[in-house]
Amino acid sequence: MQSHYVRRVYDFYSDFYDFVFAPFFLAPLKKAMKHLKFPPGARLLDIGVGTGATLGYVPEDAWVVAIDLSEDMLKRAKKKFPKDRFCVMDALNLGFQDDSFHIAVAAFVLTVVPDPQRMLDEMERVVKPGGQILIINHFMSRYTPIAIAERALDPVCRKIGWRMDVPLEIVTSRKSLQIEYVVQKKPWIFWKGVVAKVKK
Amino acid sequence: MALDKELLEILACPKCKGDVELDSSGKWILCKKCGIKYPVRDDIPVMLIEEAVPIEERKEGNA
Repeated sequence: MQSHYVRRVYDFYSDFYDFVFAPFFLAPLKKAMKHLKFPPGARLLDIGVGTGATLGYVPEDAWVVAIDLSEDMLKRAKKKFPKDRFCVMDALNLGFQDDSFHIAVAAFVLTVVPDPQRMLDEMERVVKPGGQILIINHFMSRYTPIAIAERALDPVCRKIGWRMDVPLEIVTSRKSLQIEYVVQKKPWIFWKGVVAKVKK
Repeated sequence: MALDKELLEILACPKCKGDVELDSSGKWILCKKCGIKYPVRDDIPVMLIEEAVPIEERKEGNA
C-alpha cells in the first residue's frame, strides 16, 4: 500500500468514518489510554488521529498535536477539538524535531502504513527518552487457523485501506522499547494495545 | 488564527529533519536547507514531501 493510495481511501472514508469505524475503536482506546502516564502539561502526539476519537480521552491540560495523512479527516477533528493543533503529515516522515513529545499514540495506524517498522522508528525519534508510546491495533493471530484466515483476507483488506499480516512482535521485539503493558491478551479479541517506554 | 508558536518550535522538515520557519505571509513553512516550502491551508501545516514546492529565488535587477 502506497501512502498516496492510503490518503485517497481515508479522504473518502472521512464522510462516514464517525458512524462506521469509530464506534469499534472507542472501547479499546478508552481502556488502553488509562495505561499512559501524563506528566503535568504533557506533550502528546496523536498519529493518524482520523476524526479525533482519541482526543476525547486526553487530559485537559495536555498539549496535543494531532496528525493525519487525510486533510479531510483533520478538518473534521479540528472542528471538534479547536484548541488542539493539527498537521497533515505522513507517519513515515514525521516533520518534528527529535525528543519533542512525552507521549506518542497511534491507534489503528500500524497496519495502514506501508512500512510499520519505519513508523515505529519515527515515533521513537520524536518521543523524549523515558517517554511512552501507545500502539493500539489489530495484530496477526498466534492461532494458526485464524492466522490462515487473516492471510487469506489480507489482499482484500489492502484494497480497502489496511493489512492483516502484522504480528505483535513487530513492536514487542524492539530493543529500543521497554514493554510496560500489553492490554487485552485474550486471543478472541481482535485488537491489542501495547504501552512501551522509549529507551535512548 | 495564526499558527501556534510552540508548534512552530518543534516542527521540522520531514525530509531533512532540519529547522523550518514560517514565511512572512503565514502561508508557507520554509526549509532553507532543502530549498523547499510546505503549504499552510486553513491554519493546518501540510508537511508532506510530495506537497512541497521549491522556494523561488529573488532575482536581482529584474524590477
